[in-house]
Amino acid sequence: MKSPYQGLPRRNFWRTGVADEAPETIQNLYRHKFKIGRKDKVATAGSCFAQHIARNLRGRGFNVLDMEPGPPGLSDEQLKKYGFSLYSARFGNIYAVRQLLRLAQEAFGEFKPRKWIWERNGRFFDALRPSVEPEGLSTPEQVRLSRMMHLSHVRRMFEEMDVFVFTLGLTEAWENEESGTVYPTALGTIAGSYDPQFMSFKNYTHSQILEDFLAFRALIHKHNADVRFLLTVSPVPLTATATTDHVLTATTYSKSALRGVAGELYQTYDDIDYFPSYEIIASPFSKGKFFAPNLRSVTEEGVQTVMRVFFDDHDPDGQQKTKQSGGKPTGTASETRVKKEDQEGKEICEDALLEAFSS
Amino acid sequence: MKKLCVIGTSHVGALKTGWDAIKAEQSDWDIVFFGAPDFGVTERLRHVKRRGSKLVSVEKYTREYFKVTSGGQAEIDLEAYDCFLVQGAGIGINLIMRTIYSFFRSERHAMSGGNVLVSEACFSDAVKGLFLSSVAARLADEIAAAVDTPAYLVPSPCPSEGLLSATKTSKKVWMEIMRNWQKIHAAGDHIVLEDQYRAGLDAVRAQGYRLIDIPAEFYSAPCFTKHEYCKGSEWLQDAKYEASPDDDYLHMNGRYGATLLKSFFETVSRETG
Repeated sequence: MKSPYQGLPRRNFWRTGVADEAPETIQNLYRHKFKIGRKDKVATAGSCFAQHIARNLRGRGFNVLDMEPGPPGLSDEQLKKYGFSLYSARFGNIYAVRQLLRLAQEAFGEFKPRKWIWERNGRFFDALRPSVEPEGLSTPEQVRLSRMMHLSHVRRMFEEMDVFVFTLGLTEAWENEESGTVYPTALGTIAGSYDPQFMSFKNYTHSQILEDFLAFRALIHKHNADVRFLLTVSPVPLTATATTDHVLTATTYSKSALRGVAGELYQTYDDIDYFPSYEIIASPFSKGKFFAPNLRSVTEEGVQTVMRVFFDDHDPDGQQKTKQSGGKPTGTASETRVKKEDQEGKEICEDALLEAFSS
Repeated sequence: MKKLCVIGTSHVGALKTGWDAIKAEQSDWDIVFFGAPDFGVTERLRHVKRRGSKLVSVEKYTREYFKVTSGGQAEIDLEAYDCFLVQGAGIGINLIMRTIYSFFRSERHAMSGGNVLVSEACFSDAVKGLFLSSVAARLADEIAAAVDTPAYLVPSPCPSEGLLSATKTSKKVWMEIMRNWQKIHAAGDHIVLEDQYRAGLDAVRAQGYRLIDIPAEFYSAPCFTKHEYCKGSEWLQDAKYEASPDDDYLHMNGRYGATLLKSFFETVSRETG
């Protein structure tokens, strides 16, 4: 019997598939399981890196849902500052799959979070999406009202989307065990002060993450039977770990577990695809060149390489559509002042705040 | 004699009528008007672009309006004037109400169903951005890029207080505006909106634009103009200046225009000597 490797294409071998290739030009790294067309209603969510995906899909003319658009007059930078248009609804970053599951459960009335309004200096924050109003609101009632309205948009997003693009970011999270409420940041990071009685640290395992995603998928299918899922894993390392491990070890665990879950879901379910943004940025293939000097942030070149691979497959004939600015001519001060400071695509990340705690 | 170029929307009607009434006593000034009314929520003046030292409309209706209102000139020769005044064109309180407040509420406003609640900082940033990205600001930039001539901006009029007691108007869009302002007033939000509007104007000034205030004597309450400045209003419509309907609470009359122009002349003379 011949070797099962005999006759396999070049992409199956490391030397010809990777060592002889360059990230900027590689072909056939990704083959879609299902096509995402420009008419498909795409919803995006996930960790910071997912912001790049949403931005580039929009820029390319894909139908990325924006259920909670921001007020006219805000620049792109200000929209990001207030959590608008980063994703398909104003939920901020969703780092852990359990956090995503809780959001969906809450949106469909199956979960009530506890102690999710935090106070700092007389201002009140939605602890489940603290970055969307950086200075908070005046009263807890306003935070409650704002969340209620937000959830109605999230529900509609889940019901209407054709494709859900989710970037798995972290395994580490903070949870109120009694209620199951998952927070994107620990108390004390943005508001309040850390109370171990109230909030405990979680580092989810492969099986927990898998179970959470399947529960999420089942819930969404109840309301939207035909939706498909595209998973990616964020290549961005942890800013900090709350485990006893070194942050490098913790990052490797986190990314490995997430990548493993994504792989298992991809292999098992026809409606779940996996896109290898993690491999493009973080594997030896790119020799680390897509990371900024902090070895954490992904450069714009890296983002564009990721998106090139994605569009080569999903939209090979598409042209980059430049965003029109309402017919206004470019080049004047009034234009450049409020317009697109978005060129570098700097993302909004709560976990970057943890940097402040390092000494 | 100094030559003033006034660029504006349908509200230019009040300025033109006011000018006709006072020009005999304003021998230092001559004015050429270039007006193009908004078409629904579409600003016709956004079609006006700079080509060298001229402002030119790339859309035919605006060109036609310019010809009619200026007495035959389809283009604005920027070198031909001593001063510019851009009225409204994206700066005004009604615009805040229609584009932001109708969909978003700041934490300082009274809430009502359906509107998205945002922080005061967010709402305020939106107002500032709206004004700073207005057609008026862009036209001032275009003028500054071509000539050293001062270009002033003046907000479009605040609505007449008359709409607070009105029960109906002939146009559907006015009806909606009337109801919205009545609700705003009933909720007390007009006081907050006035603050946000003022902060927006300050942001325009802070960026170096010459923005002149609407004279204080026009105001009856925050956000509203005394009805005496609205009664018998004139607007630019259908390529001519004409009396606007009695149930138009958004356009002002010649007295408003004359007072505004006099105040403007005083400002210019104070600033430029």
